[in-house]
Amino acid sequence: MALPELSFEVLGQLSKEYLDHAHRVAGDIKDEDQLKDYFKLVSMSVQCLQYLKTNYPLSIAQDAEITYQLVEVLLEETLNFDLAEAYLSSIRERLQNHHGSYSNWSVLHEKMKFEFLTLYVLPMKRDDKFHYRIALKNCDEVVHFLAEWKYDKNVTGSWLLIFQYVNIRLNIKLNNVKRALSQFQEMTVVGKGSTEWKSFIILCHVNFYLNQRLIIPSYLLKALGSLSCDQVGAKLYGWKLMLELIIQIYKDSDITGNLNEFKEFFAEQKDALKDDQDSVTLEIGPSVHMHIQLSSVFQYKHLKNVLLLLQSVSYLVNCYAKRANFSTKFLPKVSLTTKKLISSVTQSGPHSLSFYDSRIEWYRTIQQFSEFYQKWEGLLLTGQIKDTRGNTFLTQDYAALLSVISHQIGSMKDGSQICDSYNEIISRNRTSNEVRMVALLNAYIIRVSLMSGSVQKQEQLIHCNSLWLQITNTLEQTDLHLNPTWDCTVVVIWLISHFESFTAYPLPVSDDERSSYIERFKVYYEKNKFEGNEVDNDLNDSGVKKLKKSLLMQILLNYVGGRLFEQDLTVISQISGICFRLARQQKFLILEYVVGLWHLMNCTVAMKRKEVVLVTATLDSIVKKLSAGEQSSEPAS
Amino acid sequence: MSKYPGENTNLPKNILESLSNVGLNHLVPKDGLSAMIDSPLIASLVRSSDLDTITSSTMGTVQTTGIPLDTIAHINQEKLVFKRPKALSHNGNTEGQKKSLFDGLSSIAKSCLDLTNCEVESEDIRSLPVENNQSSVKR
Repeated sequence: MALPELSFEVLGQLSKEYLDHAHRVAGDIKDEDQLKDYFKLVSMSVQCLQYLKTNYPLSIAQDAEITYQLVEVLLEETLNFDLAEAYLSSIRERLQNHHGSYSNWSVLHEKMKFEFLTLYVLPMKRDDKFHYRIALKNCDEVVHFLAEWKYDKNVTGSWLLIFQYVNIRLNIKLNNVKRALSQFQEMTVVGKGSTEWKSFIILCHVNFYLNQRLIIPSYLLKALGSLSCDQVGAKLYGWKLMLELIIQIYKDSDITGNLNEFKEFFAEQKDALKDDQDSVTLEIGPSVHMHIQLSSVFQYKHLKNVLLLLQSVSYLVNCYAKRANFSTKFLPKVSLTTKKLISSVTQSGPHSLSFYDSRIEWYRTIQQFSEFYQKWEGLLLTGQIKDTRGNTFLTQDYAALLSVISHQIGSMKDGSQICDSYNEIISRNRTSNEVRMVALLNAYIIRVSLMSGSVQKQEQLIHCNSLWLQITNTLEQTDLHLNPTWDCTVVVIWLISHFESFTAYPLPVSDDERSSYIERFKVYYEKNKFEGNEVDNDLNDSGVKKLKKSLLMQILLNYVGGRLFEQDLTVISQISGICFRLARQQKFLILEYVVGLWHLMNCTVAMKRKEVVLVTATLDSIVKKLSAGEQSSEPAS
Repeated sequence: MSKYPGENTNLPKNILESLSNVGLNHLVPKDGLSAMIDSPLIASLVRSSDLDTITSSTMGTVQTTGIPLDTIAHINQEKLVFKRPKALSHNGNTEGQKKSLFDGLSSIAKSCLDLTNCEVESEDIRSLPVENNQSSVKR
């Protein structure tokens, strides 16, 4: 006897109930048993849909709907990617054979939605190169098919844009940077689709340039600058402001203007920002919409927190100055806020467990940044890095860099060992350009200073030359040369390794090289040298070639400039006096000592008797501390 | 007597050597800040409503008696393996009464769950295998 069965409607409804319920209770999970129960609910939801697929004669529309739901759950909650793929191929085949053609627009739409799942959502979940490659190849075909479509371009046009975008994302995942950039360029320049969509592409495009640390072309900067809040809406506009801020921060430029823009934006768009929606819906073309989730900037609470972090980073090198020590105040605040966000993450629901999971991972990134910059602030304020072990920093890069720097500080010996450690960082494939550059410069300095005592000068010279070549290449090929701090540092390091007044073993140099570096340095010196007696902590470090007023940069710039360019003895001793005072703030005894020697020399020549006595006393005590430190082989503090 | 403090020590006397003992702390690495902004980006399609109506009939009138609720358990599909959360850890904090996750389900959903005897074991909840394909900020 045939038993009555659950109807199609009831099963569909049940599946939805199980999943919705699971997402409602996901925040209550406290132990492994409850975790299992959560997945029981998910499993029931999946089984209802599977049952529908196997036991009911579904119309193509019903089949499409059920399959879409089924694949979405599988991709969100399970690792059954092959199963999801099997469902996707069978429904694509059914749609393909339907009417034998695409005469019916809704069938084309359906087909494209499944292509999107197959070529974008699924590979992103799988996250491996093999599947990215396959998806890219198939995506190329879809793009080609849509581009060649001769009939109603209105409809296919929107899909063409979506798959061009998917294509870029796949290329990014495969590290095909050049291809991704040229595709972005095409989409930005040709500029098809709605205003919102075009803006979205511009924002992604700029964000990608920044992630790659490449120089953003001017047409793109212009396009970014022209996005207005009225046109794109508050959420996308917040993203725009954020990118413009990061552009400034990557250049170490003044961000006062950016912060004011944010202030204005918050005041005007208060209500639009506080709706707590983490997504926007973009109309791409007739009846084709895309949902963009970007909680980092779309949600006010996140935007504010990230802004505080970025502001701290920008002012980090000024942390010693009372008027600019934002990082000291803000970084602990960022950590605290993020901790609160983590503990209340499930209150943002209902969401799937994996949604909460990835949200928390993102919060952890912010925490790690905050922790990293607090360590760096310690380096700036105390000349030391505390506890580099046991930290889970963002990247291997950052952890390794902190560890080597902490070994380097105050270690009078072990030069070549530290060079080796830097070398490890340098030769690693994935090291970011910045970290590589810091490692290169530090390693170079150590190598050159090793030469004075070395018997194998020739060999050391080869090392130095090779390091220097890498330094100039890295500077030229990345956005670092847009940053005056990095550029000026490279120039200063060159000078102090090639001039007798700065090193015991100046490296050989040609006249052309010498004058070219001196010219480059002169520009920085003229713009940034001490004016008058006092060091001003002017926050508005604007203008070309203007440097952030970090202690070390100021000391180096004025020390080198004072010795190379200044003639007047009064001026020189004034400069050396300020340098000496700054060096004392810097808390690197050995630097203080060397700068102090210069000041002592100037005071002696200028016959400033009183000053000579004072400086000599200070230097005596430094020498004592350093010798004591050396004996106990403790880092000087 | 020495002419200046530390003259006869092996302390560095020039700026280059002194720098080799301190490290360049004014070069603050900032890589990854922009990726922090766009890494949570998720793009998805908005499904148009033309097909949405299929499953929206109400359940109020459903008769549960006589319906073999265990039918769906008979599906012999590939075993499901669920994603184990990475960052989210249930800390075993069971203060207060532990809530049953099934509270609030409709009666038909509850009976279906009981009858199907759906089981999920810890070994069915796994972490995504680690790929050596981390998308990185490096070019």
